[in-house]
Amino acid sequence: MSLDHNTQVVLLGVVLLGAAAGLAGSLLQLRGRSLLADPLGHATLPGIALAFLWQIARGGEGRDLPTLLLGALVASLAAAGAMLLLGRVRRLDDDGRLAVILTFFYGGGVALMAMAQQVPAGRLSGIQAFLTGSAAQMVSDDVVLIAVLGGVSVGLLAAFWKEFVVLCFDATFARATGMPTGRLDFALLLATSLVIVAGLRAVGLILIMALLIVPPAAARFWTRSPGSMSLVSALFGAVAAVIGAYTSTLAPRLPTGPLIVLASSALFIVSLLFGVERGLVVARVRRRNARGATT
Amino acid sequence: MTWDWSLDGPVLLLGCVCAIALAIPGTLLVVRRMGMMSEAIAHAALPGVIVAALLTQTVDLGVLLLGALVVGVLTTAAIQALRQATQLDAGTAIGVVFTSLFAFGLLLLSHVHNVRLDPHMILFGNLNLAPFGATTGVPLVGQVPVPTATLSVLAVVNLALFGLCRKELLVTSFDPLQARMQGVPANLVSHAMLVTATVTTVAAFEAVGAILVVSMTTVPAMTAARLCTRMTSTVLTACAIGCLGVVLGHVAAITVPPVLGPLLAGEAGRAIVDTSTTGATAVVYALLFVLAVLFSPRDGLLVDAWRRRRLATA
Repeated sequence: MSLDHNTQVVLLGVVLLGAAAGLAGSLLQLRGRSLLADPLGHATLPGIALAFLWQIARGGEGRDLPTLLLGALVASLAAAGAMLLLGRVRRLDDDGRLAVILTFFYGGGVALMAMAQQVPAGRLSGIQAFLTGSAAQMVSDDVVLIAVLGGVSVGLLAAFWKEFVVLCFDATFARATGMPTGRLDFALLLATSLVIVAGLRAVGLILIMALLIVPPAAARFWTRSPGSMSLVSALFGAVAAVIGAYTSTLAPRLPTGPLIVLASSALFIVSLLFGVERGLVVARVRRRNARGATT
Repeated sequence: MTWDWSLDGPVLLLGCVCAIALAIPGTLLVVRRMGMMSEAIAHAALPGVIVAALLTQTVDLGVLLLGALVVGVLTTAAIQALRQATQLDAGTAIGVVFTSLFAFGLLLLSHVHNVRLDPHMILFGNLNLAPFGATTGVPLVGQVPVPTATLSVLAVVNLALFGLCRKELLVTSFDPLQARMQGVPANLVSHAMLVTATVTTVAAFEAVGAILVVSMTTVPAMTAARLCTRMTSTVLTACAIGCLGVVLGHVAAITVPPVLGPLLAGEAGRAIVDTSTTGATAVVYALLFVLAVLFSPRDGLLVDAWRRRRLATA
């Protein structure tokens, strides 16, 4: 099959994004914090709105992409910081922390966006594409951006891999042996936020969390070791990206972001049933064999 | 913008009945640590609404709500089934199910042309517009906006259900084993509670949008739980905080932006007159929660510090 240049650019971009998201998401999941991808993704909205208003204040049109993405990253990190800070409050479980952070940041984002819409000089239309993404309009600069942000994220995770794994499996032990668990947790969230910002153009701030949650969940049915789970997860993320991006070229007006997510959902269902380690079919066969062996 | 009761009154009324209707299932979800379920139901409602609209070729409110309700119930069932059949943690199970459904909804949305559906309205809701659509006649009261009437009924039903099943809800929430030993059908009560939560979420979602539904369900209940120890007082306090947040949020949405606009956007910011009540109310809820964390007489950080100091000097 031959693909035109535009399609190649989009494919390369989403593959890099899918792999980076799969990797960061796998550690997030092992840490038991998958759903944190939800508030961290939604928290980019107030950052984008503030970066837009800041550009307007300096006489711009508010469409400078690096500035908008920097705003998104800072806001996402602020949400991560707030998440860790709220962790010190007694009688407050993860679920509650997520809800409060989501409420504050996304509610603030909606309020700021409503304000930004009233600025006459601004051109907000392109910015609303950050909500659900617009992969088809990606250019090679966007791919470079994804490669840089995703690369930093992967590099960060690889550099402290051993520490992260210890933290995920036994946080108390990690603390007892003198590891800076607070800083490690923040580094993990930083790696996640970098992937989220990288994905804003391609899949948007609402769907990016799916790429951080679904491929790692699918990977868990195939393996038990954290290293291979992360690799399988990154692979699933990349494969889902290829399938989704390619499918969207088959007919006009098929949005790439949702198709990538649905491709990863399909991978999840296949893994849930047929994964060799924890898949439902395999588990049933194993139970039957075990029963046969004892009688 | 100036205050005008004929415009601001219906907004406040709808916001308050919505907050009360959601605070009751919200408190029950929060004590079971399932607050993010409402996020899942609110997002999963999107494909439900669209499929219903496509099948019937109408945007009739009842039909859309039915579609959202069916998908909402399926969502909660799918999440429960995933948690029971696999070793995935609750957060992952919730995340996998609702992000997939939401993506499906967005895919459908890109192909809906002959049905008038506004994705922005669905995602963000608009409390400022919701009470000014269709009205329905109510005996003794007169014409009432449809969402206000629906949510008032749900608020009363939820309060009545809570009053009737208080003991069962309490024991199944805190000690399911004890509940089973006493012969309380714990599973049935849980499922009934989730269905009530789903119905209310879906009805409110249509009026105030996904974000505010999640905020209204979880955050006032969490704030109330920091102030109260008993279930009934927690539920009633959550209702009160829900209403307080709507009033403060609406006032803030009118008064804060003219001041904040020029600060953020300079000269061009003078054009900013107000903001969305939906967004402002969500922010107010989060701030009220932070206040409760700091100043709750029960175990607020301030009281804690003071107690520790007294112990140290003693």
